Amino acid sequence: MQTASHKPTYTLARARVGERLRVVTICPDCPECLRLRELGFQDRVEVRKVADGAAIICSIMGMRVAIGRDLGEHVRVEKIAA
Amino acid sequence: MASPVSTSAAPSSSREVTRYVAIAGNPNCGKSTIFNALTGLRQKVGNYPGVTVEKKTGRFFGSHGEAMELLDLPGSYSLQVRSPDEAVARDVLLGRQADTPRPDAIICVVDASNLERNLYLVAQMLELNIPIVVALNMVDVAEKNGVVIDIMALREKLGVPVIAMVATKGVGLIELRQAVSRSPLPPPTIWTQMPIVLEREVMGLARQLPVAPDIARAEALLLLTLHEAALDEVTHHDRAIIEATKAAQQRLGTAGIDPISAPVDARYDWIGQVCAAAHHTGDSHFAASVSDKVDGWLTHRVWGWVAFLGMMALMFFCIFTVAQVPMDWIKDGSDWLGKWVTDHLPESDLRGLLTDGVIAGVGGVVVFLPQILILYFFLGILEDTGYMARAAFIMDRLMSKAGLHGKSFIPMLSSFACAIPGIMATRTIENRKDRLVTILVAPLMSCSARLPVYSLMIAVLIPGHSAMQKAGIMLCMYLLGIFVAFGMAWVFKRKLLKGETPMLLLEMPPYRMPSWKGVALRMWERSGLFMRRAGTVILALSVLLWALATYPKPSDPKATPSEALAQSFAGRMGHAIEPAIKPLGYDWKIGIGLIGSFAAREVFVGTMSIVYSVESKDKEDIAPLRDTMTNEKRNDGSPMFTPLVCIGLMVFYVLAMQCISTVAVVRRETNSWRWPLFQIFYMTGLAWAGAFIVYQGGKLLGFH
Amino acid sequence: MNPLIDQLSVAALVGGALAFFIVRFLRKRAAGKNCGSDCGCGTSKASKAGR
Repeated sequence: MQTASHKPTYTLARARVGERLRVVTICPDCPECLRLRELGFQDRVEVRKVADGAAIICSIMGMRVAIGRDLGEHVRVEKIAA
Repeated sequence: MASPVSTSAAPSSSREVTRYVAIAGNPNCGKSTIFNALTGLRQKVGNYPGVTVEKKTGRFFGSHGEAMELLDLPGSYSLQVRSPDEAVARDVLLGRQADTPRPDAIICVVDASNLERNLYLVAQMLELNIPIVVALNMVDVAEKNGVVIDIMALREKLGVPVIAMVATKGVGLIELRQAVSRSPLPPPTIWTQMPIVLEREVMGLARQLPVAPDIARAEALLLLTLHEAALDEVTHHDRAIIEATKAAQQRLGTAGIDPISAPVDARYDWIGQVCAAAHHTGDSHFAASVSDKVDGWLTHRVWGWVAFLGMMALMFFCIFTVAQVPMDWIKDGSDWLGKWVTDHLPESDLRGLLTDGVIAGVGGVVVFLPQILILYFFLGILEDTGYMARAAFIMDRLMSKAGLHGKSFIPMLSSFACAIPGIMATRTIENRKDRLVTILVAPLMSCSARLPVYSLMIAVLIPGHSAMQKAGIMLCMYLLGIFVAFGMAWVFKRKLLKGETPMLLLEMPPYRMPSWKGVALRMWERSGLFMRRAGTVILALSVLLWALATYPKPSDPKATPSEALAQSFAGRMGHAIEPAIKPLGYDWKIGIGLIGSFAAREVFVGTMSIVYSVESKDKEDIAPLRDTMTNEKRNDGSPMFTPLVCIGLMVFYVLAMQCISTVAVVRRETNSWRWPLFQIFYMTGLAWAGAFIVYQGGKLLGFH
Repeated sequence: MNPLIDQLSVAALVGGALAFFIVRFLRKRAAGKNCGSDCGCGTSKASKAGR
């Protein structure tokens, strides 16, 4: 995985609720991830995790999306300093 | 604010249609509001052939009175489709949909408060070579969120007309009407440029496609962005094209370009440029909004459930109490009509047909209209406010235990009203197997047609008990349906339709005030459909059932009504199936009810009143029927309707698939007779087994 | 009421109900290709060819 920054990256599923995050990479293969890209989960885009449970709710570009935890594992993010 | 649409001032609808306009956009961007505002009540709801996706068309008039046909496409995020309703939108826009012409223009509705994501679909639309008008809706919400959009700059960057709108308040409708009726309306001149290597492959493939040159590029691009498995399922192009596509994908891969994600990235790069020029966001974009705070509660592990159950309880409370008043009016009305016919016609077969067949049969069904309206009112509000998506979210954990995901919950919830809209709502489920499982179990949710059966059996079972106890038994029947639906979904997912459940991906629309006009319009539409069914299928069925229970008449004119019934066609059928239902504790008379309600379960009550209260004067009232049934004896003198028989009958109706319309919809949705037949078979089997266990098991335990 | 009129009107109504179902069925079959209504047939040959 290549990123310009040296901040630690982790998956969206593991991020904490309320954190401001930036998408680093997203898996290229599965159809769900293509839809995630189409919904705006592009590299370098800001995401905020709103809720966490059996699934995750996150806020991206002014909209909220619920994604399964398993799908959340396909998105790598890094924390943006507050 | 007065709406600029006026039905009365509209020119005659017989005027020739000059333009065919499709209205497209993401889900929840206000498409339907704009559609309703433009067309008013001049709408027609139908279905696209072959799929249960609703097709909504309407007539509207341009700024000079020219008639135009407007088509409301299903909401979609992308032309790279993931669900059947998105496929319909794509097929219409590409001119592939049978019976629907390719539109002359598209109104692309864009949610201004969520511009970037919405522009993705616009970017794809611009590639289609159809004239586009962008309706930038909800600019008021965007402004409130601190988003400023420079309309002139957006117009310049997109190269198409952009109309700022607040559709719920009618703002921008006149401008939209003017923009759409402009003649000529030129096709777009700007679209996303793909990386040069990809563009070359796209053009190469486009030349080989046997489609009109104006959509060849869009078709080629869609083909190139398909995964291999999806490519193999393509049937509208021949093998050679598929092989050429695969070869092109391989060449792109070697050149270091991912054909699937590269177009998405290119479009978002372009959107980035558009937004840099026309879209200015304040820093509030990422601050926690009110919706976020509400979500914190409504999707909470504990409070989310409390809120959900509270809302369900309120809904059912209203269905059972508020609806009672208008239901009494309808019942009084049909009683009065029956009495009027009895008073004005001499004793004859015709009178029997009109009172027992037509009025009792149709009246017995129409009486449920208020309950159905209340159900649609609640479901409409839950959907409009954005709560439905939250309900799907909190149900996801429970549904995943059965192997389905939260999205399957919405069709199941709608099935409490009627399995038909429930099955139609499965069109948003992407995975074919999950959709099938949901369709197979949806009719197990107790629909409103079961209510009269439950009401009658509860009245026979515990006459004179409090409403609370009756409601308690009713609730048990609803819970049984839910429980069995989950259980069967679990079984089907493991044995019959094995497969991975796709990962949950669901947009949570922001909370909004419901559009009362929209909710009212939907209730109007539904009641129209329901009344049409009552006036056609149920009416004809009631007449036939009456004839079956009346003819042939006994040769002896002094025969008692019950002897006459025994040798009628219906009586003979009841006798024929008696051996099969005897283990359930039923006799041939109940058999007639079961046969009669095979096409529509609500007919059971009407049939029972024909069967049991043939001697009663007032056949419309449930109380004499209840008393007749309570006093009904077996040949050995023991009572017929023991508690075990009553409970067994209710269980039978919870589980049985007795609805011909549902069968027809399942047939259409699954495109084969295999699944509806399987569904009839398994549900009838389940119903028989359920009633058997209740009756025989109860007897073994010493009940009666 | 005249028994003949009675029997005739009943026969007409029952026959009408029967005819309703027969016509419905036949129309669905005839419209096999594409009936375009919301009658529930939806047996579009295009959709069978696979979409």
